[in-house]
Amino acid sequence: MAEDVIYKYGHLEILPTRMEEYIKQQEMNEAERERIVKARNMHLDWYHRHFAYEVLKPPEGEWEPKA
Amino acid sequence: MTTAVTQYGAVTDEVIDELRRLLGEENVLIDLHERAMRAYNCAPAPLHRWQDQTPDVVVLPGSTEDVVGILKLANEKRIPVTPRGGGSGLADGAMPLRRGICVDIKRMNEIFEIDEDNMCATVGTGINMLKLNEVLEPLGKIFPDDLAGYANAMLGGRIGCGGWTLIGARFGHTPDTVISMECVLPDGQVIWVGGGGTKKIRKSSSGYRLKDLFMQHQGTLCIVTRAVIELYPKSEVEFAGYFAFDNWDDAYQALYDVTTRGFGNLSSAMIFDDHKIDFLRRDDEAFIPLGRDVRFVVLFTMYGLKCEVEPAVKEGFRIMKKLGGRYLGPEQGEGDWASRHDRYHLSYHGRTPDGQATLMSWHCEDTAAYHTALPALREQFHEIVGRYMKQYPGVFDDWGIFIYTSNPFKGWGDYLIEIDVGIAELQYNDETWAAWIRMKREIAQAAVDMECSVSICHGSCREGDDDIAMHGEMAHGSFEIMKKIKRMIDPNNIMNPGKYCLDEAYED
Amino acid sequence: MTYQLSKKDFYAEPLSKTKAIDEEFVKEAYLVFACRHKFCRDICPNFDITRNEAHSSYGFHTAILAISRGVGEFDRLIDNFTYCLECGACELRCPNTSMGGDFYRRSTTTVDLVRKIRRDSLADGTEIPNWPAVKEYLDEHRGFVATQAELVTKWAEGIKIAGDMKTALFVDFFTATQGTEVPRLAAQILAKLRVKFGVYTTPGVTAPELLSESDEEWKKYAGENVENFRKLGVETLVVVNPHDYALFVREYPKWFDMDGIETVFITDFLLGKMKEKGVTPPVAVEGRFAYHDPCTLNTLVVEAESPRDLVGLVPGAEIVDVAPANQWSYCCGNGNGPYRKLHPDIAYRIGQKRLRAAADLGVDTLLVACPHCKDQFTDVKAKSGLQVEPVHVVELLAKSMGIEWETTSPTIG
Repeated sequence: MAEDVIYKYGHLEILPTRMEEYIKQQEMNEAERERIVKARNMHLDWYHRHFAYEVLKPPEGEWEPKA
Repeated sequence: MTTAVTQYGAVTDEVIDELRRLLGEENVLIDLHERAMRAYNCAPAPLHRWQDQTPDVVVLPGSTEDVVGILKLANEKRIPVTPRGGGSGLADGAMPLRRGICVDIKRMNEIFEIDEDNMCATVGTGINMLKLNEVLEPLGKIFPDDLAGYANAMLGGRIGCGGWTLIGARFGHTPDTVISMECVLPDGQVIWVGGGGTKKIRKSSSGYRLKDLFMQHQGTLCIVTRAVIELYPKSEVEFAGYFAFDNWDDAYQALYDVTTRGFGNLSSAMIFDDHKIDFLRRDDEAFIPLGRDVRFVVLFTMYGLKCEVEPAVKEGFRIMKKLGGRYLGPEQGEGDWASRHDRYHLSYHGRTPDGQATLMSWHCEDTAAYHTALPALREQFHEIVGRYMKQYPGVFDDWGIFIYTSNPFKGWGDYLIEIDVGIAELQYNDETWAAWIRMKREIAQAAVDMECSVSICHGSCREGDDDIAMHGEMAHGSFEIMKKIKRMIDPNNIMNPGKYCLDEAYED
Repeated sequence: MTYQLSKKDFYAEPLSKTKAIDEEFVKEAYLVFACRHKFCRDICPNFDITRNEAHSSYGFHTAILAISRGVGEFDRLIDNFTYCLECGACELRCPNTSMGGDFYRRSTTTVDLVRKIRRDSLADGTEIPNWPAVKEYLDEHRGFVATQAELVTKWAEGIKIAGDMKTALFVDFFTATQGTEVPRLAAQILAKLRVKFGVYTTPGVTAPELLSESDEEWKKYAGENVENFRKLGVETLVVVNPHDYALFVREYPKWFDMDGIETVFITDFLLGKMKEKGVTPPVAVEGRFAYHDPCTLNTLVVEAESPRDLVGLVPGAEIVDVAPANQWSYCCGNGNGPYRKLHPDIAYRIGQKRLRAAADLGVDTLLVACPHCKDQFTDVKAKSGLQVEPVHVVELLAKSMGIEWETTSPTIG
């Protein structure tokens, strides 16, 4: 079941209609969502440094960074 | 499930008083909610009969001596004892089926020695791996016991279930990285077991290799209180490459080719199957978007010295691309791989048949399979879960299959094939719980029929798994020996009774 | 920083030993229980000492779920709920928040839950051990209200302040009485930078401790503040105590319209003005310094940059840093509420562990950005004998700006 999602303010979000019956969304603004995203990225970055000193980049020519 | 034949003693006020005298008042917990929250671990649980698995008392020992005192008392009074580490296991090893005393080992988290010269450390088994590695980090060392619950599991639990790690193809798994252990037997006797008879020697040919007997015992033989563990140099570099494939055959071949190529730094390789990719698209797109053209994903990771890993990664790319694999980029590699160290479950993952988000818990069946069994097992597992989904709409959900390397120090041969099942746990009743057990039995039986193992990491000691494992997989004499050992070491059957069908050891 | 809104209406309904738990609340508790991974537990600085998982977000939520299923008693609950520092680390490590909160628009709000259970328990007549010490502290602050206009400007004696209320310095009772060096030095730095500002004189009782006793009373003071900000024409509110800052960012938006009022933490404001004016501090302060992230900034609002950047401006000063994400599990031991008064012994052990971690980095100074962290570390240093001095980042900057370095605060009030 691949779902349609909303793309808003640079992030994906569930269709609010899926959160109407059993479990409901809470009152939350964009700043709170930004806080969550920022903390997630901090945490994931930290995990890489925890296991190895450096994350190796893909071999040259194998990946073009997105514009 | 077998019936207990042992008559157990009650946890009386006198027992509580004695525990308080041994451990101090603050380390003996009797409030109902304190006990109730130690009734379960990570797996979906029969919440409709919560009281039945709630221990009578929880104790928090701080030392080997404390554990000796608890076990002597329990053995004398014939009170069941269930050890509890991080409570993150998925086989209910820490579930107190006969109630009694829950021995929560989290206070035993001391680091006794870091021996850099001999690359090992001596620690209490209540230690968590992430916390330990924060202490080792300034020394440039790491204990590579890297499971999906890396941030919360405890070493005692890892020993109890014979843990598996994500990067075991390079570094080994818990049975390999634990060198020796201090065990407290039910009568209070304290023993050290290792490869031979010493604490820091990894390879010895002296006597029986008793370390392996007290590994993955699920608390049925003893409580492990200390361990000497292996240290590795922290890796200079890591690389995680994710590749998209259009079909199963090419993904399966790519897994074979990359794991049998002979890399020295290959730490893990994985397949995400098409059901898993569809599931991840539900909400993991929240941080790693996957294109619609992605049907299967093969991942390989490498850790080690830059001079070794760099050329090996190039060879890995060549293997993947030859079979049509499309590299998904560093963002996927860095984002998703980092999150695998604490592979989370989002309780919102579930969906009702009409697409509403619902609350589901998660269970993964952790079959150990050899390479040629993987295609058939994948199909059978999806068929089994799909059948129960149809019968119980909204209660069960197929969350797809992961396949991971699982042979220690090498990528080939053995694999973990894990089907993840979403379960509406809050809606459990006797009927749906029984259906879940039937589903588990079918999955376990499919594995045993293919001469595979019921469990690679969690332990096959859960209702629905245990009798298939003990009477099927272990039927060729192994279970008979297990029963004899159990009865010899634990004559009163106080150690985690009800697990591994070992009540049968006490039937005349 | 923009205001972060994260609110659950069902917390408003009080729990008690005689009432069934509302189904929405049960689902909330289940969300954390169902995860079971307990990342929330092992990141908790209190759990790190007590090792009792009942003292964790998992434990709190599971206890609520257990009560709803008849395997727990509400009036036996409160003891566990005193073991929370209100630092918010568990919220950030909850997968329901960190890996999907933005996607599902629903996050784990353990700090709100803990405060609620304390309030409901007190209202239900349950006694909380050591609560009289918290009450005494709050009563002391309540006593300040009658003379607050004089009290919160006393620290400024001898310092010329323009009094332009478009930019208002918000100084709470704790800082005005026990942490005066921070506003004193900040005011002098701002004067050197020729920044006009005024001092807001009627903060009322802002202590987050009040949210564990009476949210209505807390809202009364907060509501008066918002009304006064409007009357005074405050456009930028510069907050010196990060406990207040976190309340402005996280709590005020739940109840009040803050449109048009920007709230800025003091280090952010100073950094911005230094850059805007192109000022480099002239005096070198040679040394290697560790920096302690206060939970109010690092976890509750996820802001860790400006104190570090300010230190980066000081010639000769080097930060021996521990990454902010590592510091989610650190705490000075004071917590962001009544914790230190409820559990002084454990608070001390948490602080001792943190101070020792700084000592292990080979430094003799631990920079802080919070007067409560400084107060706690000063206490811990004296008791433990650990030779690490807590110094506020603003003090370091002031020294580098050629302003007399006042490391002790004259007690006022």
